[in-house]
Amino acid sequence: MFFQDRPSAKIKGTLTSSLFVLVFASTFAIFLTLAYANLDDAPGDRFLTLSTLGRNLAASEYYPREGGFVMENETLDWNVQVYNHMGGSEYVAIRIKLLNATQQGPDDRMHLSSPVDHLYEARHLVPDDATWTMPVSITIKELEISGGNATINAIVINGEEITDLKVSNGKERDFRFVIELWRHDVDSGNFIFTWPSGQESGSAWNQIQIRAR
Amino acid sequence: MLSELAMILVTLTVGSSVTSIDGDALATGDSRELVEATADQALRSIRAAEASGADVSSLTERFNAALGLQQQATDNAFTSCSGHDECIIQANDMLLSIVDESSAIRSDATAGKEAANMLTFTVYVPVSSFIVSVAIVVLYNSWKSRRARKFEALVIHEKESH
Repeated sequence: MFFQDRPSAKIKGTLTSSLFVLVFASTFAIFLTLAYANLDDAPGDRFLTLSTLGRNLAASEYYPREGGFVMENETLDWNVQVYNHMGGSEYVAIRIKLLNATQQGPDDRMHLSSPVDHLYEARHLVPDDATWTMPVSITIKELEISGGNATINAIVINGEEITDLKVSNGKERDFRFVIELWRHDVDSGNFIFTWPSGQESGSAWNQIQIRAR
Repeated sequence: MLSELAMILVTLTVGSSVTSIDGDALATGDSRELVEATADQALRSIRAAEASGADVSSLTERFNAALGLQQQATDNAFTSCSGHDECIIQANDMLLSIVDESSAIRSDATAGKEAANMLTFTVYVPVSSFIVSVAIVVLYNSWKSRRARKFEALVIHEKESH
């Protein structure tokens, strides 16, 4: 009895009991499962976001004057932001397109980009869970207004002059700058407009309307 | 096993296609395509390093710096290099150095990750399971003996009242 009450004997008795063996086996199995589950650290939702902000990095001050009017030689200052939550670095391209009121824009449902050629492109490698902010400065360099029609012939985007545009519109004189987010597909080696998001696809684009005057 | 195969594949691809730019390429105007091919390989190697758990922030910065040099060459607006050819050569060299460096940091990160996994499965999991099991059994035994003592006290109390 005296021998049985000694602490070492008590510990030995506890560790060799069938109860301890059962509890240890269960705890070990649970911890092992948790450790294995922790090995796969891929994020649940994978997505990229695109947002176009005004000159003050807020959703305001998009135009140099009230009502969205822009005159020749006036500059639009925006900030385009891309946030990456794809679980790894993403090589992305921002493509800027100029469309009139009737030209086809991107298709959200089918995840198709606008068929219009882009005027400007900027590429960047965005780390995972990071935001890239790109300032965009657009100047309407050559605007022709005749007989109620407005034609933008030349613009400057971030110092790069693009001429011979000849994008015309009717009386409304409304134009759209479409900003599309493209990502580099490693398998094909090309930039593509969509990304895989679970069973579905994702795409992102913004559109800002201006009134030429 | 799969990650090792992927690494070998990336190494083989990188080894077979990237090249430094020579005077002929600059003269014939193929330089942009060559830089883009090198950028593609640099991107693949950054992703492989990232997948192995390496910190690729410095590689990402250099990749973007190389893109900036390439853009300067395209726009003919030079701020950090003196001319088209120099910009292209610098961009290509920077991308090649990314390919080299990412393979080194990938190996380190893979070894580190394997060591960490080994430590988790051979030390942390068994030790923490042992500690938790001892705590559970000790608490259970103590609860059981307290209950037994309580029961014995009740029996004695009942005998005394008789």
